[in-house]
Amino acid sequence: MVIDDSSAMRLILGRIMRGLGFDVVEAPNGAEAIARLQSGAMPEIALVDWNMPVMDGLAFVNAVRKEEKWRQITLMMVTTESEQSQIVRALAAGAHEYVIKPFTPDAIADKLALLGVLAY
Amino acid sequence: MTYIPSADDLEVITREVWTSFLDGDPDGLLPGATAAGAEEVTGCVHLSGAYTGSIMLRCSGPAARYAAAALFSMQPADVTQNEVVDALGELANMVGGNVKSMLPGPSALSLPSVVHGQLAVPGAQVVREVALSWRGESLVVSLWQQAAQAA
Amino acid sequence: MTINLSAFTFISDLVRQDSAIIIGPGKEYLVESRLLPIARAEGHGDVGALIAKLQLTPDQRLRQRVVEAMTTNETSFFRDRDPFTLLNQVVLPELCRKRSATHRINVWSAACSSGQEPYSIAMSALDHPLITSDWQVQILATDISEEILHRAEQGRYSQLEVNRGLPAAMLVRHFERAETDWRVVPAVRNMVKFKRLNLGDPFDLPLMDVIFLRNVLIYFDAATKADVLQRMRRVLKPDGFLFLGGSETTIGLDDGFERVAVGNATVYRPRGADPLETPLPEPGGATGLGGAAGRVSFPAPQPLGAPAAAATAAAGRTAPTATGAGSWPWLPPLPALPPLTPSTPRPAPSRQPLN
Repeated sequence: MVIDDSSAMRLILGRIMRGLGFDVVEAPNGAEAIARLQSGAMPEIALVDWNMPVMDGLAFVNAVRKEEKWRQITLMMVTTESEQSQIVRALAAGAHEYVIKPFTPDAIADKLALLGVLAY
Repeated sequence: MTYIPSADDLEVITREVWTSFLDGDPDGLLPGATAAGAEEVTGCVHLSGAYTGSIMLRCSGPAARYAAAALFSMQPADVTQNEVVDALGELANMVGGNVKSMLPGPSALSLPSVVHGQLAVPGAQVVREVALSWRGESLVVSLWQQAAQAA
Repeated sequence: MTINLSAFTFISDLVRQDSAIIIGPGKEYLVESRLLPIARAEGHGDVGALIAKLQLTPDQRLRQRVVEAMTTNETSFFRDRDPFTLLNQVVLPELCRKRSATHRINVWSAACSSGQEPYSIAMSALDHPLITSDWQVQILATDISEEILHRAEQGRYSQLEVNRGLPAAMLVRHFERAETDWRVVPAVRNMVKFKRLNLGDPFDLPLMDVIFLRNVLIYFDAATKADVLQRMRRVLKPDGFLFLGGSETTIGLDDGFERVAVGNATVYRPRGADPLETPLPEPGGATGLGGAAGRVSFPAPQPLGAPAAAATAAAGRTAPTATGAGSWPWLPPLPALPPLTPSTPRPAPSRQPLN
């Protein structure tokens, strides 16, 4: 699942993830992403922007982490927030990984490999 | 005196954004001003908190269309207003977020806004600016600070 | 995906023929991202079109550019991951048993380039639960280029570089911001000593417990490779470990090493070394963060008001055991959260309509 308020970014990340063999579902903010999960979507991994309208990425991570049924979802933040303290906050809230924008496709693939989400 | 990013820092950040998403060629973005074209477009994000101000990306109409075309993998001729707004907003978000991380914190980053022409924020001044050119088109990155804050 | 299997196979064959470097399946994204700039420069819509052109008309210049783009020695933190998994799960635990008298481990990063490899080793050691503060891990990092050594000594990396291969938890623990860059903290920096060394020259070095000689032998001819390996064996302790690059091997070059393989990871030991006491992890097990599917279940999140607890909850994914079996990378608690100021309301989001 790619969650970002920028449709350009959803397109770019979607393309990278499809290239890596994933099916991709998109949402423009945390609230719509939660709605998707509640209606049964169960992504292996969600790429989550931080600054979005309605519900931001940190709130999304907190909401997902509260639910037993969504424990299996790997959460990776992909955001321009790049202070050390912000990264710590995201990881402490339960994000598994963190990619700082701007990124290259290699960087996404690397992080997925670290998470064991990719076979290689 | 707290560290405020230099014009060089703004350029480095912009370059990283450009080479990641818009232009595989690291020399595609050149320092130096180009005459502002007609139909300038400005993408902007605001900061509030320990630092209050804004970061703006102002470019010529053609540059905005090239940028949107690159981000959306489209031909520049096919780009519509929607793509330009989205693209320039996300570019401002990326440059702005990285500039924010070099400023006194913590500060909140707003969602981006995009306007035709130049943007000014009442009570704020430009504290850093770098003029670049991309494919012969102008691109100006500026950091603003609310006057109420002492430098 | 614009490239299909036959296009990918064509490129990996071409690269193997011209450079001996193997690009295995799964690296299609790498071909895509490395060749896209060339495709654009040549006026092709996508990488598939570029490859089709190359298949149709042999163009030596273009072929060379493609090979160079695919084989650029892109170093990154924890490059190839598997050797570091092996380092954490087997090599370091083994050395902790075997060196209990001296409490000292010597590591040599023999082609350290811009420093990511030695710093990765340092971070692994700092995070390893068995390497407590009474241990001394000394990392010697050498390269033939003064210039690159100077860069490595700074320990400064751009945002794009730290996005690669480096777990975010390690980024926040072992780096600090330095203007637009990130710089390794003194605890990491002080574990590494940089020195200029030409591998063709005699090694005047203390005995090593671990040697990393990765992706440098490929630049030598067979005779030089054999010579370097033989001299490496003489500075390696009899129960030490040698790491080579992914597509490299001692087989056919030096008889004095034996190969220890765990899944995709390989390490070499001097022949006749005492058997390993550390059990080898299951192949195909955790190269990610533990769990059969590479996924772990998290304990319930702690409120932000309890930073230390929250940090442990997020970080204590699988408790590392004394034998080293478990998750990689080790994730001790995150640094304490800075105090949060009361949130300031954001300016209202305003997507101004363009008129």
